[in-house]
Amino acid sequence: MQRLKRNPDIVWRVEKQREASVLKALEAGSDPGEQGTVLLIVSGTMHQLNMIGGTIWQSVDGSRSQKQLVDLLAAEYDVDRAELETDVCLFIEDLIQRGWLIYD
Amino acid sequence: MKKYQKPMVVGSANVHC
Repeated sequence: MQRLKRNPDIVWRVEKQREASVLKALEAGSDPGEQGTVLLIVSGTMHQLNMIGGTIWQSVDGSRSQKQLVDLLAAEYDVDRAELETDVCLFIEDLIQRGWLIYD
Repeated sequence: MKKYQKPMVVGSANVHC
């Protein structure tokens, strides 16, 4: 199986305070809206990923497969597994299209 | 269990100095 990794040209950081406040909202079952928790800078443009997108981004380090990642998220979030699997797949494909994730 | 949100790119902006 091919391993995905983050494009090493991308500068990124986790916005810890934002992540904590979004996490608090999600745990309370309320909607934090479209708040970004991970900041990416890609050739002069800044992008943000939401909580789950950021979790996926941080998890793509070559140490786990997509299935393991879905297992991890399914245990934490209130979502149908099949739906989650589709969403994770689409999100990762989107990032590959953008060139943010690349095959090792 | 935490409330679920689809993973997505939520904002983009140009970095201008």
